[in-house]
Amino acid sequence: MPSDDRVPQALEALAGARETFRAAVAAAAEEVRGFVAAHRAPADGAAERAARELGPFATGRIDTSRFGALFGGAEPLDASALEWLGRAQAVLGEAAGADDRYFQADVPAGADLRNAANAALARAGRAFGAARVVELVRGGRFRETDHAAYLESFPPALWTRAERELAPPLVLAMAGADLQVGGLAELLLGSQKIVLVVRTPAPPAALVRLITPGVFVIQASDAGGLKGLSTVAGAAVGAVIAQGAVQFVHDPAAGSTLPARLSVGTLPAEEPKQALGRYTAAQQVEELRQLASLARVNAPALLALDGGPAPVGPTLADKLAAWLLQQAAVPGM
Amino acid sequence: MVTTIKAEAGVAAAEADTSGAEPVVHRCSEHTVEILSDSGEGAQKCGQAFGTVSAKMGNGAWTVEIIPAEIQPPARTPAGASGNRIRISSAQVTNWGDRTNLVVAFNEQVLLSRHEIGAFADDAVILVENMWATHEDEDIRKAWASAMAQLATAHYRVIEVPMEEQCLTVVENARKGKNMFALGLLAWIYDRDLELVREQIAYTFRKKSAEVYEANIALLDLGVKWASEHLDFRIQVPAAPVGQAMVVMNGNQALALGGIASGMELAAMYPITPATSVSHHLSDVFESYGGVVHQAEDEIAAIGVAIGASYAGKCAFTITSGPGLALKTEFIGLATMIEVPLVIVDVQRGGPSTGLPTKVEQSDLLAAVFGQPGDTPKVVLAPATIEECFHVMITARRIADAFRVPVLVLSDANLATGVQPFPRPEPRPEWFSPPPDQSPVPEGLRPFDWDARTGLSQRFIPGQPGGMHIVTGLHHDENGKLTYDQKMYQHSSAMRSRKLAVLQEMLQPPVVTGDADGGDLLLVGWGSTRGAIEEAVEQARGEGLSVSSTHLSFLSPLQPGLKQIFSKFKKVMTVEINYSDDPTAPYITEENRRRGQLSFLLRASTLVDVDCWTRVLGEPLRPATLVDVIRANVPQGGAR
Repeated sequence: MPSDDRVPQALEALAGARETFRAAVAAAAEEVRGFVAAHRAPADGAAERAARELGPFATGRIDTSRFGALFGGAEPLDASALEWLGRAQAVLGEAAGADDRYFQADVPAGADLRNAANAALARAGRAFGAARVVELVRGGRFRETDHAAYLESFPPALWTRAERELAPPLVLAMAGADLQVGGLAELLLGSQKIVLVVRTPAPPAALVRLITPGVFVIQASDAGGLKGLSTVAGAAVGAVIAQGAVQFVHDPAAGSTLPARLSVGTLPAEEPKQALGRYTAAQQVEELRQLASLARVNAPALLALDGGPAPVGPTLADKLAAWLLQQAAVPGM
Repeated sequence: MVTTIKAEAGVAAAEADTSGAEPVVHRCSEHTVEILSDSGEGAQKCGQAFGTVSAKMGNGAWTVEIIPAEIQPPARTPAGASGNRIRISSAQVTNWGDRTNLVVAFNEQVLLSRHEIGAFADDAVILVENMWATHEDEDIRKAWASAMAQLATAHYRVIEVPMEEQCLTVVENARKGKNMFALGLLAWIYDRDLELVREQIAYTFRKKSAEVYEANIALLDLGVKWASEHLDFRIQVPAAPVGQAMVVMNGNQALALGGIASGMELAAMYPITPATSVSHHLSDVFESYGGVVHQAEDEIAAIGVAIGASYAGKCAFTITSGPGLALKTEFIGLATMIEVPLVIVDVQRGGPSTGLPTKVEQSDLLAAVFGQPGDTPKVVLAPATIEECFHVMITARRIADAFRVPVLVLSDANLATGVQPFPRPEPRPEWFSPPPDQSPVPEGLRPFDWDARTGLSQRFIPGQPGGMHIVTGLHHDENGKLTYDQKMYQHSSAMRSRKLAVLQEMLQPPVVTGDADGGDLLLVGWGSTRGAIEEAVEQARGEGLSVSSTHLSFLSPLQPGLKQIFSKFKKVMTVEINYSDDPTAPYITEENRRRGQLSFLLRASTLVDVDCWTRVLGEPLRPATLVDVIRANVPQGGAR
């Protein structure tokens, strides 16, 4: 695909999340390095290693040969364990020093968006897989047949809650006709951040399907609209759609009720009539209406086309739903 | 207008009237400056900036904050003096020195408070805000006149500076601007690199708006301009060549960065003066290195969180000061009993109780070593310099990990707020202690399987295959289970204690500065007093006195060989910033005299008659004072 300035801009918007991920991975890499160093047969004397471990304050104060003699020897690991630890360490090192490419992928035309996102996150998540391999090796539970693949691909479904909080952010470049976002919902956990850079005309309100109480959702016409996405608490998804899309933001932190959380830009005067790839016109219309309904936007033009009655305020079900949400009062929701 | 009250010596001998004449440049190897104001007027910011810039220019520097005990004491009162004292030198500086050579004061009352305790050199130059002389309040005018009359009895050269009037040409509220104007005065007097000064101002106000930065720069420039037009002297303290990369920071920042460099991943604390800023520095950067700063609801919770993190497989640290250490007492016992590695930083302040929150003392030594009910063997370390505040954390963490023991690091308010340049540390991967071994526990191994010779045992981590175990503060057996076995009470106590003996056997005797072969007087110190003691010893030796010093970094266990070292000297005396009875005071006898805390410890452990000299004035020791102490305590006829 041709280069698109919006991809680096989207990556820039996720800089904070990338740094958080890199820092966590770097810390893990250091820990593994220390562990490997401690369990490898020492290439130099225990005294020298003790001197380095104790630091300059110990110089002239602690007899490092005595210290090293007593604490120099963790049980050496066998060659196989060291090899797998080395491989895991390499994966962690690669992730810690990863450039922007680590956090982006292209969705091939016609591909399933959820699968593409899952695969890309699994690749980026191999850093977590490496950490898991280290734990398994240290615990003596590593089995090559079951666990070696973690170093290549470690899908989000296997991530722990803590890992989801450190999730690598992801920028996906794709065609508008493939913007079937429903499957992304299962990936938007913890602090996962995903940005979709849409290169061709797209349905006007595709991301409405991802509006759920705890997820930040934004549709913007340019990457500048994503500014601050990294600092959003919890999961967030954004789409940069240049042509034909409604701009809206669902910010869970903005209020306890949906109208307070959801702000919608101008809705189109006419409903879509053309299919976009597999996206039928009816689907697009349904999403647009759903967005208008959620925002309680007065959209007579749209409703007139449908011939149905105009909304007259919250229904009993709306009120009940709002009340339930208030009662839930779950932190982060 | 420049008014000089008196001029008799040194810089003060210069003529006051500049009227077109070139200023007289006084070249000296060191100079000490004070900036004094009411609390909230920013004298500390001014002093910190001046000290940092001086250090960056290659001068040796040591700064000390002058802080009132109250957060917002009444304005224009002697007790409210707030400021910063900066000793700059052509060589490395290890302490705050003796008396101040140049003062910038925002009112005469804060000036007076320092004059009354003899803080200024006889020929000090004083630049003082003169708005009070013509103040509309008659009481203030009288106070000014009275203070000036008192100052006139000394040999200072007092120069009145219209700070308020000048600052009002730039800002509406001069109270918010005098500090940068004062910085401009100092920058001109000491010929500081203005680009570095501007950088420092930008850093200081990095969280403020551009307008704030620009106003402060304008005030700086105004100060420089006023000084260049009105002062007839400048001070030149040549910088020492620096052959390596240096960093400039205070002791609390060094402790924070050392904690990060040691690979510890959790710092739990509750705010307490003067330790709080350790966590401020940590919260700026710790998360970037995978760490967590946890501000708990109280001191007890803070150490509880740290113990929990350590129990879970990490090595954590907690930060406090004297009153907080008292609250942590029970949990320090728990950490000792369940043998988790733990680093406890105590930034000492004046005591007892809430005592002197902002002032320096070394009164927590015995509390650190013995302060828990029951027998609670633990390691106690004391850094002596700001550089050591950084490096001690690495050593403390490694010892805590290796011996499964709490390690107490005793810093103090002098180190905490003092700023000093030192060689930039080069972190090593080995400082990050290897994570605990989580390989499956060998069949039959128990969580407290003490080695009968060393008392050491393998640390189990929750979740480690085969490592499930319980911990309890009650007396327990090798399985960690409550025991009623009398022999086990004795055995487990011995095992916990034995670890300190093992560590002590690895320690090396302290270095003697002076004559290692012996002499008339040996001063023994610990913690932040080293610079002042060694400077005094050097000066006294220059006078021909047979005096040496040694400084202890390990206080529990004590470094070996002390008795042998002491035996080579006719008199051994500790020098400490804690209380001891004056032996000539009423009721005080040899038998009931309460001695300095290190002296007490050394007498008990060496059976040597170790004397002490201690003071609790709330300020660091002055080398000149110690020279007098040496002169008075060298046995008669004790010239080298």
